[in-house]
Amino acid sequence: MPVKRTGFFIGLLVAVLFALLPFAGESYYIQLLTVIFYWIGLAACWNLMCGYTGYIDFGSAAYTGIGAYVAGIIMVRSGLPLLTTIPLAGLGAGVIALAVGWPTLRLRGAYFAIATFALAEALMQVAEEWTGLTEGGIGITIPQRLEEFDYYWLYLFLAALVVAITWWVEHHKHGYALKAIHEDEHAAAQVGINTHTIKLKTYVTSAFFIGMLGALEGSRLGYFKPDDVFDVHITIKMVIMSLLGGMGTVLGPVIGATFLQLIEDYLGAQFLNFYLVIIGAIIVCVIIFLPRGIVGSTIERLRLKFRRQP
Amino acid sequence: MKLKKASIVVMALALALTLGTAAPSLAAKDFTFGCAVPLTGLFGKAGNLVKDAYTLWMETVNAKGGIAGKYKVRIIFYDDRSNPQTSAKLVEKLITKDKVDFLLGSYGSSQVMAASAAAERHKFPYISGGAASNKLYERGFKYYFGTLGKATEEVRGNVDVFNAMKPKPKTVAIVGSNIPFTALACVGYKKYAEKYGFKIVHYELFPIKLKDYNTMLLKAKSKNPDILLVGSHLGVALRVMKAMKEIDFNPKAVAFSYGPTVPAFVEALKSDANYVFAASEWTPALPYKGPVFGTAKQFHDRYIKRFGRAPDYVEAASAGGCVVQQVAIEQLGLKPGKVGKAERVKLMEKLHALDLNTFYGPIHFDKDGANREHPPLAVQVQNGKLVTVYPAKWAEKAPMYPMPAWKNR
Repeated sequence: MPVKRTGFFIGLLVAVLFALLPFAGESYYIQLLTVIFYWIGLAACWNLMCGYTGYIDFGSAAYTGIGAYVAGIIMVRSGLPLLTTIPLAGLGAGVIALAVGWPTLRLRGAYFAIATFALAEALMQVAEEWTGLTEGGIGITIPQRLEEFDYYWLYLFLAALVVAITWWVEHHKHGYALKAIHEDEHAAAQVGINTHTIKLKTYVTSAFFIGMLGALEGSRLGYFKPDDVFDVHITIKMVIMSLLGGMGTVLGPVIGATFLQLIEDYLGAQFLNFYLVIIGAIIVCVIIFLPRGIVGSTIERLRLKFRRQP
Repeated sequence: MKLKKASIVVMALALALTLGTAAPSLAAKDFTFGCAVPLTGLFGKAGNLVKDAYTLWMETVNAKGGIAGKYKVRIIFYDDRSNPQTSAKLVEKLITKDKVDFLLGSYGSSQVMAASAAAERHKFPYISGGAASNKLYERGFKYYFGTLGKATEEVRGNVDVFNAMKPKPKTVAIVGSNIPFTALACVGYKKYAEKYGFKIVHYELFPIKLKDYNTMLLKAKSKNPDILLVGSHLGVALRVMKAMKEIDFNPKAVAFSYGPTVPAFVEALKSDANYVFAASEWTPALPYKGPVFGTAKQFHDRYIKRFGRAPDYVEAASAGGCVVQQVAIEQLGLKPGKVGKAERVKLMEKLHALDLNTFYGPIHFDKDGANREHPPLAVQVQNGKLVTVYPAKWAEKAPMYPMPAWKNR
């Protein structure tokens, strides 16, 4: 499959080029890209599970929160170095995802969305109330922090990894199975796909990465409270970015996250008083005119174009 | 057909983007200040107050020719949408992209925590007049300063005023929302209530997003406290007042950590706002005076003239932060276009060393960046107006106490 491989290597090359960027010196663009990579990572995790299976998770912020608190509490209590706590945070999120996904992934459509939404809200309440562990609403201060460029590289690495996994899934049996679930779960089960296991695997993988990203971001901020890291807006942003870019495509979340962060950054500086209105209008326009997202709709058009030609 | 539509949209967008790019070029004679505040989201209302305070300072200084009488002030404002991640990013942007000379602080402890950490890394002094969480001062930062008192101390006036009452009330109930500022206010209430020998009959922190205040307050009502102390910001204070009336909860007095001093409080509640107590750090009745704005009363009058409303103490504290930074810049003789890392280190040292009287009261930062404690104050809404009722030496009127029952009002 030469075409597919070319795509992969181009992606790898782009990632390597971005990895070299900090050597050109510190600038605001490094900061901006750090945040963009963080969101690409999150949106790609959401897309991996929800874009491919069509299961809408409205509680992904549960895993940024778990990640942030697991890493934070371990650092405060035991003084373990930050970098060792990150995989532990991923594992924490993964274990919870396993426990939650096992029953809830048998739910379909709106029921799954409601269950996951409730999960994130419930965990936020737990973090608020369990003051002995989390310090509740007063918030928790993280004692360690990495260098600026380390966050840049780590977010780039994690985002690239999740996108690479998505690419692999897209071209692998696993991906066909997920797409089959999206199209018709009953039919998928009847042709011999173990739909529950495959959904669970994907869900746990996605939660594992969200947990690590959440933990890193918690340390980058240096201080957070439950409603910062379990914020439903985190989930909403993942959904919007995936929708904008194109659900169920490899590059969708990359384009969606970059696009949204860039217009936010740019318009926020130029039109202080009504930039949110403009952003809202842009999102509505994209969804009306490009219903499959920027990437999804472009692919569709290209296909149509090439098919028409003799 | 569809493609055409899409390309029109794209063109319109491109046009909209290019329209905005013609940013005004900076004259080298100006000082540029950068400020990321919440203008939308949970703290949008309060953040806009801070923006007003900074705007008034800028206009006042520029009307006098500028800093040191000759360098005009320009402020770049960004909206952090009440989000700490955005706040930190925007401070980075102000420093590394917009290359501002100095920063002005934000509102809300979470935003300020994240933003001041970014400022500290770049060695930019960061003075906030809108954050009071004690945790801000426990990080060993050198470049962070706060003009407000620490959250636990800020509410002391609310307890002191009842300690001075004769006969002294006996029992208190403490409730508050669970965000840092209000939760710490409750910690402060508890500390001073215990110190003065009040009996705490009820203590509860509730989620900031709580909708049903009636049930929450029924628990406090059932304990029949003399005084209800609330850790609040404006939204919480309004909901507590509405719920108290609905469930007919009649303690002898109710006091809020923040809310009643914002003009919107009396506007929304009308006569129901009467008898309410609030802690304060500053009122126009205080005998404070200093450079730029003159006396506390003159600051107050200038505010009314410019914005058609009275300033509350957070706005005074924010403008106070501007004044102290301005004085430090003037004393160091800094010039626009020549402010680098070394100058800002000097500015930080100067801010630690200054002991300044201002319209906001004395400003003298301790080693941790906290302002030296202001004397505890309490204000009360009487006939729709805020008056200072404690301490007695500055009181405009005697406190109206006890509050009549709702059915008799």
